[in-house]
Amino acid sequence: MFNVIQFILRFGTFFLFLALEIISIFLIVNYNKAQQEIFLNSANIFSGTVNEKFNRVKNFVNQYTVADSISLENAVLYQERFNYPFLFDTLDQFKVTSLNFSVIPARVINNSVSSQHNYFTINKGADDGIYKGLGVMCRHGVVGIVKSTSKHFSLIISILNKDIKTSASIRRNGYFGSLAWEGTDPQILNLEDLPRHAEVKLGDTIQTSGYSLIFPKGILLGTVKKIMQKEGTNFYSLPCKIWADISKLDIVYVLKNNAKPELEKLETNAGSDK
Amino acid sequence: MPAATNNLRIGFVRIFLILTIQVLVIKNIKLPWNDDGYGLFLFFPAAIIFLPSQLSRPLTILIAFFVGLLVDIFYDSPGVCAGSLVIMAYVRPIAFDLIEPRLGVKLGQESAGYNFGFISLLTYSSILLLIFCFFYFSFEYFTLYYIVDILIKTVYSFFLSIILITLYIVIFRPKI
Repeated sequence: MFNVIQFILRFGTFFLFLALEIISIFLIVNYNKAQQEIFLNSANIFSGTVNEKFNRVKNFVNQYTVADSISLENAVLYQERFNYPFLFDTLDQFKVTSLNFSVIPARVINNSVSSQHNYFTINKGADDGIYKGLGVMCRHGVVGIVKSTSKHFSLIISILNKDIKTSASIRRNGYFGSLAWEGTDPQILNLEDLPRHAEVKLGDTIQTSGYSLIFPKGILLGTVKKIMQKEGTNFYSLPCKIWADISKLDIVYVLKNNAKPELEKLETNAGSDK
Repeated sequence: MPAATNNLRIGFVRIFLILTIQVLVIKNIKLPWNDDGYGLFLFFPAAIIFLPSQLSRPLTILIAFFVGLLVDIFYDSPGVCAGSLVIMAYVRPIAFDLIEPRLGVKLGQESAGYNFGFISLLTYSSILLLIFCFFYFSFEYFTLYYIVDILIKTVYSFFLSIILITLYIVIFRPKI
């Protein structure tokens, strides 16, 4: 209390000055028409600017919520897109049971690209229906496969890992091979085991082949950058530039193939019959 | 009667006289070459500029506010004169220190008034009047968009007003 009084006594003149100035400005604004108009106009500009800045901050704070809701919408769209071709299959003579992919959006919370065996972690886990072996993609293409899950998180083997191979095909003609990382440039993956008679051009788009149970057909991956032939074999080795930048992953989508158990069972039975 | 009280009394009489001259005489002066109203004779700041030095700073500020309000009533510009006079009164000690650096005299100390030289009084008055004119026209325009006009009016009115104040100093040689 004593300090407050001392403070007021010390700065009393300044406070008096301030109070009288405020009264004067109040009088100017309220009883002078020209100044009143200028004040109101300026106040509008000021409040407009403040509101705009505040909204920017609010939008910035809300961006994660917005991003999450957009990723959810994207997941639904991906889901529809992946399941769409199989509607045609049902009309075809094959009568294939439609493959039914569920798409679960997630956010990358930890990532590495510097080692030869890279992994990243996402913020969705077993509680969200994720289990080992599911495919993971971002909007620029395939990024990995689920290695293990906990209740709320999952560890993903990145495609920048020498242990992982993804089935990929040339979009233009459907020839397929397997896509693997050589452990050097994080932007370049090799499409291997592509038969030599396949017609390949520089700049050809590659996509997922759909021959694995992990990724549906048609996820675009990148383009052929160089055409090389493996020495002593009848296969191409095509360095491809992939579009997904693993080093700045944020939102990813886990692809859950609901027909996988049935297909696996079928393939296992076929194997045992041989 | 003690000299200090006498000095105070003279100060208050001076306020009354200056205000009377301002609102009854000077206000009606119309310069033939000044149709745009760029130059104003602002003599009333002299009432605060020459207030006795023994008045404390808060009291000076309060007097300045009420003097300003009185002038505002006659000029029909509520708050404009009051606001600018209060600012001038607030910076008065700084201008006073500039003309009185040697004796260590401060405003608000008990005294019977000081006789300063003409140059000192003119310097002191000019500083305060310039500050007053600038804030007077700033409050009148109430936006910095017209800063050029504000500055032109400040300079123009300052020269007109300082003529009157110089005459006042020459004739009355006021004690502060």
